[in-house]
Amino acid sequence: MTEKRSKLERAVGAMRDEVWDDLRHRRVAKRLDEALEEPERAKRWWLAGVGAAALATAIVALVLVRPWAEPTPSVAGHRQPESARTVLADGSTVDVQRGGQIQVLTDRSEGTRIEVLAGRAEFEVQKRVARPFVASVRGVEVRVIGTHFSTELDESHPPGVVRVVVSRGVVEVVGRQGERVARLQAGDRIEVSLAPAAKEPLPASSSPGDVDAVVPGEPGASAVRAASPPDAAQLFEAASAARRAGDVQAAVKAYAALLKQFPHDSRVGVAALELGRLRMDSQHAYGAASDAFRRAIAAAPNEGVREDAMARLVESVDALGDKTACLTEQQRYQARYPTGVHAAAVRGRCGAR
Amino acid sequence: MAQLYADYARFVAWFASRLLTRPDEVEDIVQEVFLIAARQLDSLTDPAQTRGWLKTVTLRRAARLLRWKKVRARFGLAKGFEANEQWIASPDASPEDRAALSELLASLDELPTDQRLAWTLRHLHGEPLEGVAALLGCSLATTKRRIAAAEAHLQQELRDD
Repeated sequence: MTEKRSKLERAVGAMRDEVWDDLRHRRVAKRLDEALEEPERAKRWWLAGVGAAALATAIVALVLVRPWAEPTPSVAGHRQPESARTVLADGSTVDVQRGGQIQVLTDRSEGTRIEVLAGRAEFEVQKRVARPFVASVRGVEVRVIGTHFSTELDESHPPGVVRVVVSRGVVEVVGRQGERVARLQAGDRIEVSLAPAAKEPLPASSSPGDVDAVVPGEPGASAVRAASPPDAAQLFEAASAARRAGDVQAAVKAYAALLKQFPHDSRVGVAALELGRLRMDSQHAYGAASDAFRRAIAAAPNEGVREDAMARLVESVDALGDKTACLTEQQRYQARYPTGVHAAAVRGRCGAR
Repeated sequence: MAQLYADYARFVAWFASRLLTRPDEVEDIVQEVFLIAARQLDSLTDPAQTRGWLKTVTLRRAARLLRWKKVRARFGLAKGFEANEQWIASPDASPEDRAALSELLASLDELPTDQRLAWTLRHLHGEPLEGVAALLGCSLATTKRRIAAAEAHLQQELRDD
């Protein structure tokens, strides 16, 4: 017989001890390095006023002159002896690794096109709706909306391959004949052969060292392979274990497989909610997260799960920028849970910020 | 400096995560604390003192941030800075427990900063009463009074249905 804990005790007990992951550690370390490299900035604070004035002048000049309306090709003309960063007009960045080489073909208000000539390049692309961002590697194109991904031209084994790895968002990979090769989501990777007659793509995996495989011909749409197919309980257990271990990719795969293979199982509601959380919080895949939350609402085993899913759905469609859907889902939540635990958070969504 | 960061960043982040309710705030505080530490690196040689010093600096920076958020809220500028339980909830927490945690964080945001810090240090950091008093720079009686007031508010807000 377990002692009944108060809600306050349960809340305190629900906190995790480990809040600092490697990504945060590295991110803050980088910010610290940058800040410490410029100590005068902190001391000579009065320069900030002068800087602000200069910045304002520059902004006015930029608006008047509109330099981005003109082609601004630039070339990383030789292979980088060290890693180097190129900052584009909208703040997107390309980190060219040692030995790599890129050429910015266009960087205009209409769109950006970058040719990767050699080596590995890592892209951090600002969200853009009507301005295509294309990274091209030997005719293989990666089309982006807003994401973080890397490309690598590996010619160590002729004729070579182009590797694309997506760490956030969604990209579309287009082959040299103009055919769509794959749509990759966060965590997916693909290798495209540069052999003239070879069928693309080569076998790919969703994450390095992952035992599961992306379905050939459907890169990004992962499926679980096993000698004997696991049942719903095993999938749910595997997903939960992977989630607790911090293996987001494996957890997402297992939850998705459960939803696909056992759509009427009693665990579907909770699995869909957890899948949506992972899609949204870890992978920032808001569209996929919205789908999962809708599924969770439809299959919710109790009001707790349903309320969580409805609140998270508001959050995900808000992140997508779909104001109409956001307002609709916000009203749905408020009608059903006017004093719900997420009421304040939901109220602050859909442009209320 | 790199060694200090490697040794203590995780601790400072954990300490800050109990005081604040958003991951971006915690990252900012960690950065601020180590920037301050970088300027006083020569005096941070004793590991025992370093830990205490980092706690004090983290607490002061967090307190300043919380008070600033209160001011912002007073002017209707709190939207977009609401508590977020997703990042701090244990992966094992049930949906009900996550909901309770969400309520707790929202309720903490409603507390006066002094009460909030006292309760947090006592119940989330596990500091002894004397330690809370020392960190907050107030008397034991004041510490107890603040903790009791916060506890009453939280019990009221998080009463079981």
